Amino acid sequence: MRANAVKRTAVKRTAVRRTIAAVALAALIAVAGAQAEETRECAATGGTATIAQWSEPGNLNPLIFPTTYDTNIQELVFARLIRPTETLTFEPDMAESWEVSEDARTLTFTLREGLTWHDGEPVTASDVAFTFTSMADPEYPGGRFAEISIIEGAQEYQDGTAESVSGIQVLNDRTISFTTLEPFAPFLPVIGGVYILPEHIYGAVDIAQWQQDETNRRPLGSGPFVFEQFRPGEFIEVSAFEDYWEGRPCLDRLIVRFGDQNTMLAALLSGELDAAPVPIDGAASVESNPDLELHVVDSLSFQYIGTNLRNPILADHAVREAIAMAVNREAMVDGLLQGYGSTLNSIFPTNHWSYPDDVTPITYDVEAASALLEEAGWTLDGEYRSKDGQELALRLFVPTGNQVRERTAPIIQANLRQVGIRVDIQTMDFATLVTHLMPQDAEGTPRSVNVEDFDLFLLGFGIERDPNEYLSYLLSSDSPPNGFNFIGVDTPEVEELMLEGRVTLDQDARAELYQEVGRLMRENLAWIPLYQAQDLYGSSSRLSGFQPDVRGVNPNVANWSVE
Amino acid sequence: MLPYFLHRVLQGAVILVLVSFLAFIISLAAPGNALQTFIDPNIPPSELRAAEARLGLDRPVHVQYGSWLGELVTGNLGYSFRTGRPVAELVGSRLGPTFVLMGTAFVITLALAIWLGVATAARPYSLFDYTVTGAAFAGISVPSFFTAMALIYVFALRLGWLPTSGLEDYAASYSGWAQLADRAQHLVLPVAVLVLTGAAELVRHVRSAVGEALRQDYVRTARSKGVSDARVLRHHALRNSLLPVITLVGVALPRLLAGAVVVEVVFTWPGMGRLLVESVFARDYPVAMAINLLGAVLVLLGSLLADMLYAVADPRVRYS
Amino acid sequence: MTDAVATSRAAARAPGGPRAWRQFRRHRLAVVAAVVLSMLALAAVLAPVLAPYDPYDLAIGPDGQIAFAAPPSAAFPLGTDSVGRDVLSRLLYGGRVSLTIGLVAALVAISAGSVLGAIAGHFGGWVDRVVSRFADAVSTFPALFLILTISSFVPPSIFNVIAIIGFLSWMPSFRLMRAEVLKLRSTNFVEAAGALGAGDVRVMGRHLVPNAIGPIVVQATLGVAEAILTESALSFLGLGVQPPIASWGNMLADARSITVLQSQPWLWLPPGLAIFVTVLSINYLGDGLKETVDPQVSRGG
Repeated sequence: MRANAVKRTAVKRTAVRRTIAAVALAALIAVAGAQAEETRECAATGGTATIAQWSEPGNLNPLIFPTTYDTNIQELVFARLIRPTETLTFEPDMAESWEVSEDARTLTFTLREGLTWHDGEPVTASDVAFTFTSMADPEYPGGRFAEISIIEGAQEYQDGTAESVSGIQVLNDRTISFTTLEPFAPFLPVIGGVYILPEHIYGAVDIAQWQQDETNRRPLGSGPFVFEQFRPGEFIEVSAFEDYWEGRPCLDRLIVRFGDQNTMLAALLSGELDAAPVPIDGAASVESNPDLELHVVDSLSFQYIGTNLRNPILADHAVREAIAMAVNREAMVDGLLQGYGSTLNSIFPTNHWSYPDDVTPITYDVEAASALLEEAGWTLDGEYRSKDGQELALRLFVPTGNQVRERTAPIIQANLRQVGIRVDIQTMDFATLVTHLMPQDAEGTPRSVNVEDFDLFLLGFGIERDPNEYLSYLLSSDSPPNGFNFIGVDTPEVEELMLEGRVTLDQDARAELYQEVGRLMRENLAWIPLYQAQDLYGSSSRLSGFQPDVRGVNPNVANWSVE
Repeated sequence: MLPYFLHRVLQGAVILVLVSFLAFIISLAAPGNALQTFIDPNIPPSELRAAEARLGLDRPVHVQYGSWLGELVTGNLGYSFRTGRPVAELVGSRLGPTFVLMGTAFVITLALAIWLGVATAARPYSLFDYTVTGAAFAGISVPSFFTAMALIYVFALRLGWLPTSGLEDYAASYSGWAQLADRAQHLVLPVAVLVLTGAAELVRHVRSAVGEALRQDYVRTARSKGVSDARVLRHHALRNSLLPVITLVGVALPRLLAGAVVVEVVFTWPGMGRLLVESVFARDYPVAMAINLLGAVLVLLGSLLADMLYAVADPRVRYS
Repeated sequence: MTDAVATSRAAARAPGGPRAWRQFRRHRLAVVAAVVLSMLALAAVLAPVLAPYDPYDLAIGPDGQIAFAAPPSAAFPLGTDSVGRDVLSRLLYGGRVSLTIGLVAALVAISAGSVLGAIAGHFGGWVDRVVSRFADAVSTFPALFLILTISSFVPPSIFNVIAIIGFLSWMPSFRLMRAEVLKLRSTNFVEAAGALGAGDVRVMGRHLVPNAIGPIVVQATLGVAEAILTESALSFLGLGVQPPIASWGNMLADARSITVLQSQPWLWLPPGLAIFVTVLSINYLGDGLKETVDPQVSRGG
């Protein structure tokens, strides 16, 4: 829906001013023209590269419940207003510039000139408005409304009491502004996480049918590659977009295959793939292969032991601390990760600005751990400890899907046995773990967590775009069924800091707030951080320009070339 | 014959309903539903619940089953929870690869088993017999995923003669004979695994069926009349051992489908077995149900076919 | 072939003990298989005595650190696994688990099958029809399909794995028992015995069991082999016996990784060989048993 009429200002100038204006205009056109026709330096142009990922994408419409496997493909076909840099700040993508208003509540983006969709239609600000407005549509089935609910008028549109989202304003063909209810620090990351959809394609489909519709399997965007085909269970093929604003990608075609990690490793080793993620135990095979190169990349996710604070045993801080000190996390990094990773001492990833570098490390000290338990009244009774007739026994729920994480379980069990804690390992698939963390009653209605639901569990977390993602995990009001605080964290200072972080715009001040959260959570140990694994990729000598980093596998994809 | 045929079809339909209900109860009894297979901090529980309601996952089991059955009768297999793709389209696209894999494996298995079964029955307790029996037993004594990994390692990685996985070379755009050759190359290892396990079992059965036929009195009579060994084998023993082999064909079909699951997963073959594994893990019950149903239909058809062939092969058999 | 018939006739009359035993002994391979299996079973039973370490303990190497995936050495004869546990101990305890699963699952299958078969054969009528249709329905599933679907909803434990495999393999013994009961019912013996009652049970016991037990035992033997292989397949898919409990299946599943396959053979060769030898022996044993109980071969006199 187009917003208000475009304003055009009439300009009256004298002859001199007219000349100056003409020259200025010419310069502007030259600059804008140059921007729209950037060229690229390619080592070689043309050819097809084949890479792999470990799972098939489910949805190719970026507004439907995206997982990493989905976004890996969406990144190729779609573009955003802004995109993250290697240091996770944001740089222009489709928007050439943006401005923040005085009251910090309005962001105005200006699109580049000459942007087109893969079918040749021009990209305009109304496409952007359409994309964001769709997320607030009452029939929208994709689940991402909460991300943009901070936009003024979004809630009203969602409730059906408004015809449009008042906070989204199309100022002209190339300019759009967003106004939030209050200054919202993570708004730029939010914008940076939304791929823009062409209104003329996706607007023609009933939004309630977006997941079932063909467009969910045949996407059309404005990114570096054009979607060609999706053979379910096998691969996706994309081809170079000739009119990509940053210059045509070097490759002609890119094939993304999906398959189990071991089979894909075999395919990489036999030369059938140009690049693929490599499981930790495959690193040696890749390194010893003269045609392959191993890339080691830091990630922003980590693994931790979660606790159920409603359990009186775990509610005792001494017990949590003893557990943290009794687990040999270094051995996990050396033995299970083979050195491709590190331990961490707080709940934010170590390579992010939210990690408090001065945080007190968690030391591996079996004697101190035993002493703590002893002091807390847990006395040794045979192999395990007990207090007041109750044995110090805890269940550890281990979700499948991450082989290294699964293997930490027996180590944790053996480590804790050394200090007298009995651990019962229960392995289950991820969906089953979720039913324990966010339980439902007999009728299927979500309910709150009680002490029976779980004791300890293993899970991963991390930062996708902004530390505000942790909010629902740390607010006491967001225990299931309301949010993701299944652990039951109830620390007012942490809450205050998290809420303040949302609205603090000064980056340094913001960093300090989250770092303090990190320190407090380290003391608290409701989450017992284990390790941060690095991601490994292998690429063949045939492929140049492959540079995975913390953002994933696709940075620089437009510069990939094959000989 | 026709009333029997119709009777069987009706029976089959009843079985299918039973089967589908069973599979449904099981699928829905699984803890967690399709939307709980991931936790995304950007998607709060309230959104997930709304999505669940949209997919009808909050209704009681029997209502969901009834609705599924109702849709099924009108020919609508529903949509995948995970991807929104129409189930019929999704499962349909996997039928081809599964049939190619199973069909090729089946034909080769049958040929190999019959040849070796007859040969060993003709020379029982000989070295040849023991060797083949030994090899057959060996074939069925190793878990198939291991055989698959071993073959990939030897032939694809070490020797480089064959590709490791997939249906064909996706980057190349072959057509015509080149495409056929490429696809055939990709078929070799998966079929080899299926044949190694399938033929091994069938050889034993063929051997005992043929051996059994050879022990019949009429065979000895033919021999004593001076009929040559080869003729005896061909005319008498083979034809009569055909019957038990045909019944085995009916049994072999579900086993082949089941065996294909592991092979498809290891070789990332885009077949029904692998789709079942994925959909079960994703709690995508429309897809899982459709595959179970399809598997059941195929098995019923297979056994019906076997019965038909049986009637053709043995004039003594009459179905009323 | 004529030789075989002549030999069996001769064997039937020759001295040397019960005919069945003599025929069994003839199949030397089957006997060897039986011996091998007994040894394996013994090793499994005596695992706590034979195993040098606790299968859940982390192996501490000479340098005081956990020895992850260490090759065989004096301290750890079969090396350590990827989590740092002794492979030999896990192999022995894993044997307990795998053999137990095989035996118990097969027992469950033939018990359930026999009982259902006896009931269906004895009562006939709609009872027979319903149970038979149910058997057809379950058989119509490609076994792994159903196992997969069920395994995803029950927490994977040893008990559940046994139950799933057992309850999906009852159909062959059901059919065998039902056929025997029907055969018996149609003989003059039952008709002469008259109405239903206690006499029936004795009749069943006297005639049914000896006749039916042969094929059912063979079925059970093969069932054990099948159960062990199914457990491996389930472990490969992630649905079998779950770590940290060791089973041959989940130990072998480590071979999924090319690196393990290529450079750490001590991780998969022991469980692989164990499964191979066990299943092979069971097959030879079953083969021998089949020829012993098979009325065709024993028809000598």
